[in-house]
Amino acid sequence: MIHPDTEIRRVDDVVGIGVFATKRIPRGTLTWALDPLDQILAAPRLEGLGAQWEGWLDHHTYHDPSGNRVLCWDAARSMNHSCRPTCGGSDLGFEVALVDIEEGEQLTNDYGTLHLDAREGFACRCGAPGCRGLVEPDGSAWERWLPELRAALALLTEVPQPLAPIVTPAILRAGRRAVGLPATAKRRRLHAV
Amino acid sequence: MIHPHTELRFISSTVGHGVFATAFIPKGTFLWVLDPFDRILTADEVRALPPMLKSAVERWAYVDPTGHFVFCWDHGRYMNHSCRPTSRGIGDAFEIAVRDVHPGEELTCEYGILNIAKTFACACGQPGCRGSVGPGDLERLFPVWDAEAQDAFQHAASVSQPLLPFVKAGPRDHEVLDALARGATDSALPSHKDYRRDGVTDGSVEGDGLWSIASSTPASTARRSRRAGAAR
Repeated sequence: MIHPDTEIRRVDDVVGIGVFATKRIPRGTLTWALDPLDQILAAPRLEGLGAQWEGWLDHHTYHDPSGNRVLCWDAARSMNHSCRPTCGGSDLGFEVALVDIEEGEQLTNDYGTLHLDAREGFACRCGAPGCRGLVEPDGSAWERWLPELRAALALLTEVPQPLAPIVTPAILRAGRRAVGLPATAKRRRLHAV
Repeated sequence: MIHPHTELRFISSTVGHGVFATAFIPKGTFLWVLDPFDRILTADEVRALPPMLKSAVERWAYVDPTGHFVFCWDHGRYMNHSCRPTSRGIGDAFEIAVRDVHPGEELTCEYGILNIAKTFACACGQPGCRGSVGPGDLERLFPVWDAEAQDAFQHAASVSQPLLPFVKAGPRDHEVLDALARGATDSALPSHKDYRRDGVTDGSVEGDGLWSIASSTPASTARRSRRAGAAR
């Protein structure tokens, strides 16, 4: 589920739509969490689909580290790529704001962290400082943004967390461990909103 | 799956969002079809969701004749009710345009077929607006709805049907697909009255939702994916 202080807006005719903050979302806020309404499509289900679904899958789903396709039920599936993303961590089962996301700013991912397959590289026009120009399937995942993720996850208990009811403590502990932080943050709980 | 030539637009804080045509869509076109990625949830599954997700399902799913909640994966779930809707339901899996839909026009459906458990005030403003829409409307109005669907179906073979490759058809929907494939578009269609869920009475739901989790069929009931109209 995407952070509630977001909405879909039209970007332009090339990009289509994107997800924008309707209020400021501070760094360290959970911006997305995998939830029971998201559908994880394993290989057998995908093989049963006809060729007519190929373009649909590319457009609406992403690859998880186990080779499944994930179809998010809400605006999360409309998040655009940026070479300087405002959110990261999808392989952890949740995403976190890597920077303070101001009202009106777009929530973005680095698609390079989303296990693109060989056909899915694309020319990037995000215009961000350090834009790679070409986003290629290079096998890298969320670790590309490890320092930023570590800094953001260190703030988990410092900022309001509207998505706290969606994530389990175990998922968060695993995420913190994965970026090299102590599993629990000073015995403090998330501020549910 | 909602027709590709549509988009989600914000209408007002009262109505919320709606689905709008981005191109001309002729009468007889399927505006929505049930597809394999629309979630069909039992009442128990809905009850077990975290409150934030349960509210989403209560708001955007509809209830099919077996009491299951159908939660569309795409913006089809934002279709609003109109007393003069752009489409009528056929069987479990189709909504068919009953008139030409022009760019910028809102796509609407009839909530009276969606097994709502509560009467709601309607402000659709269309000619013939009933003022309120309730569980009893179906019994009274199904002949009109059936006639509109039947009339629209006559055009179904002569217009482009971009959603057909994506439909998840149940047994009764195969009859509709077969008729279409044979060009027999004057074949009798399943009636709206056959998609009514038994035992839905007005006022059996509390709160803002139109559909009642409490009164829904237990999960042990045999699961059949019969459906009624389109999502909200």
